[in-house]
Amino acid sequence: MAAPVVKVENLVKRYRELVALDHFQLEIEKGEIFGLLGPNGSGKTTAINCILSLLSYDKGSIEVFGKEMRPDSYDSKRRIGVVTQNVAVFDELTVYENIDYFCGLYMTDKKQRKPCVDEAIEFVGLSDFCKFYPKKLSGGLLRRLNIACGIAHKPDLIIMDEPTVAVDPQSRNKILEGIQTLNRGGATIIYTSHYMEEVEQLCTRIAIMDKGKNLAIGTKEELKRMIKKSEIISIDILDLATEHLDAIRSLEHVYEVSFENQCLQVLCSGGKHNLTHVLDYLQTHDISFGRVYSELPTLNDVFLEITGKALRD
Amino acid sequence: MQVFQTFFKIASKRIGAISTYFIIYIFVTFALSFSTADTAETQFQTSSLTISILDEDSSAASRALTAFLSSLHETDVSETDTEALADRMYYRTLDYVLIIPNGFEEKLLSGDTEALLSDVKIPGSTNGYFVDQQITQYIETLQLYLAGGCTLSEAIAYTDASAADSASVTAVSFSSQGVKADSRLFYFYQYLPYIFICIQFMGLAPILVTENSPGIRERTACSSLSFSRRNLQLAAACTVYSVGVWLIFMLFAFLCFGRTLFFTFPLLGMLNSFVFLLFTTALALFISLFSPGSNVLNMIANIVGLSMAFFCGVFISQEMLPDSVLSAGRFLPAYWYIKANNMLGGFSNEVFDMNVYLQCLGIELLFAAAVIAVMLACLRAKDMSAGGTPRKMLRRP
Repeated sequence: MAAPVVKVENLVKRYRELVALDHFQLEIEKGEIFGLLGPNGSGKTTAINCILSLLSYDKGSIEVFGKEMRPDSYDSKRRIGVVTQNVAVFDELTVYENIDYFCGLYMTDKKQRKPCVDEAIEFVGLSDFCKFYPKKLSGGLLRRLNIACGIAHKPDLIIMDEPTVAVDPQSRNKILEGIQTLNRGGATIIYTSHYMEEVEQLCTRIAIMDKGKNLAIGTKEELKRMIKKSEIISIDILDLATEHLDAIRSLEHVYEVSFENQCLQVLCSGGKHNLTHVLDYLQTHDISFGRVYSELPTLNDVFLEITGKALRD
Repeated sequence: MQVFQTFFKIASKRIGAISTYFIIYIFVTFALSFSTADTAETQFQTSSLTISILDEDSSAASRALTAFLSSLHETDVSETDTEALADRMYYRTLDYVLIIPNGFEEKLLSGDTEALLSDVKIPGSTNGYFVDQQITQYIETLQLYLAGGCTLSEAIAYTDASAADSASVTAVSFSSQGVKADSRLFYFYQYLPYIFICIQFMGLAPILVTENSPGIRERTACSSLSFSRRNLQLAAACTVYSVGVWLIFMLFAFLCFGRTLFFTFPLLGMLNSFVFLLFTTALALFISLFSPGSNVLNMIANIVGLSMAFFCGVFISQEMLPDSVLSAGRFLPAYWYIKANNMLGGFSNEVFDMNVYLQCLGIELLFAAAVIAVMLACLRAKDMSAGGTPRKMLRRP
């Protein structure tokens, strides 16, 4: 079996009294889009910086492409592309010159570099803006330039630290599609974000982080299975007696029932046809009802149950 | 050579701003050099004033004094109307009015010096005080001979003879050893500290600020380009840029002063300016470390440049500065630069001494080294506080 692209074991990073990473573990296989999900300050960027050897750490080990990652691991760094959280480009250089500069940090041969730069420009859709200076670009286009600067040298591992922050929906879709294209091209991607919809849409595996710890890792289905809640049923009812609430609570797989503001909410753990069972009960007891909703748990529900707080708190 | 080339790409984008400063400073420097250069050699010359003498005594002594002053100045003894004299003085057609009162000769013979003469002169006029000195000198010499037992006529004759003696004066420049260089060249060198500070702060520092911005540094640290190679390329670019700036100034100097630039003293002046440029480059590197905005850089350039210029004798000659200012100036490298330049140009009563010259250069270099040392210490402190050590190996657990 091939060595994982990234392997982090028992990583501890302290800033004096503050423990930024607390025995953090991670293993990312080739071809994955791996999502690091967590609120601000959970340790996502610190973990990324440690993996990239931008930060020293107190304990643990990091391997990238099967080799120990050190600040002078230039062979490994040559195969890594980084899309930073903040746009980091030269205001004095044009779009083309910027991409060429950052690509040139990995490829010294100008002839070899040119097609890569052209391809990156094409890929992010900045062909019409080659001679533009960054200050003339919109926020979305600037983010795309930031991505192009990180991927032009065709890396095998791409680390994207919240690349869609403050981006319009059109550019965001373009960026997300691009990430999937890169992945289909063979790149392994680490994607950090606190936008759970993006992570849910993109990532093949997800790690949920909080307070420097890895609370759960798995596919989104695996993560959802980890929590008790598997279905949330909401039904509009004018009035409901307490005895009915107790009866519904006793139905199979139902673990919590509440009735507030003329809305019955039933939380189910596992099982199938939960909605049918609840509706059968209501019809049997001649209880009239209005709109009916049935939702599956989201990553936010997963996060809420695992950490006890909402993702964007 | 990606970093090296990009440095000059950024510099080329800023060429307009840099050139503006460059042209202004070149123009101002040359204008100042050429306008001030000749004054030292031409300022000492005798000048005659327009004097009106009201002789109320009409004695031998008063006539002798009138004759003495007539030999030095344009005298007018015909005008007696004091109001007309006041008008002429108001319109600056008359510089001085001497009134020789009745009883002048008597007082002179009796040795009485109280209210011997009275005068009216243009307030604050240095020429007026110069005439005062001439009259005082004449009267004192006359009194000396009278006190020595001479008769009045003898005393007047001896005094006139003594006043007619003129000293032979030759202006000697301390720098005039061997072939004399154009002194304007040293005035040109004198203004360079201020210009170098401004040019380096407005030209070099903003490029370094961009290169050292956190995002760009982080991206470079992630890449396969080592920090040592990146820093080497950056250092090479700074060196080429700084030497280029210096060479352009020297080229202008060559165009203006020709082959004299290559005489011994001008060459030593060139070396002095190059060493000072090293200091300003180190200072620009240090300032860029803190990533200030362009407005802040402008402010720092003005504060550092002007304070060095005024404390160290760039704009005002060191001999004119009070001791307290010079004492403070000794703690700035521009003081030692100007001291060396004064020795080479023979300004501020400095006499050239090779040992002192080398000492000045050494002190300037020490200042540059100190700035670099502080910069490295700050870089290290910055890394430690950020929790990262990108230039070091990771600490193994």
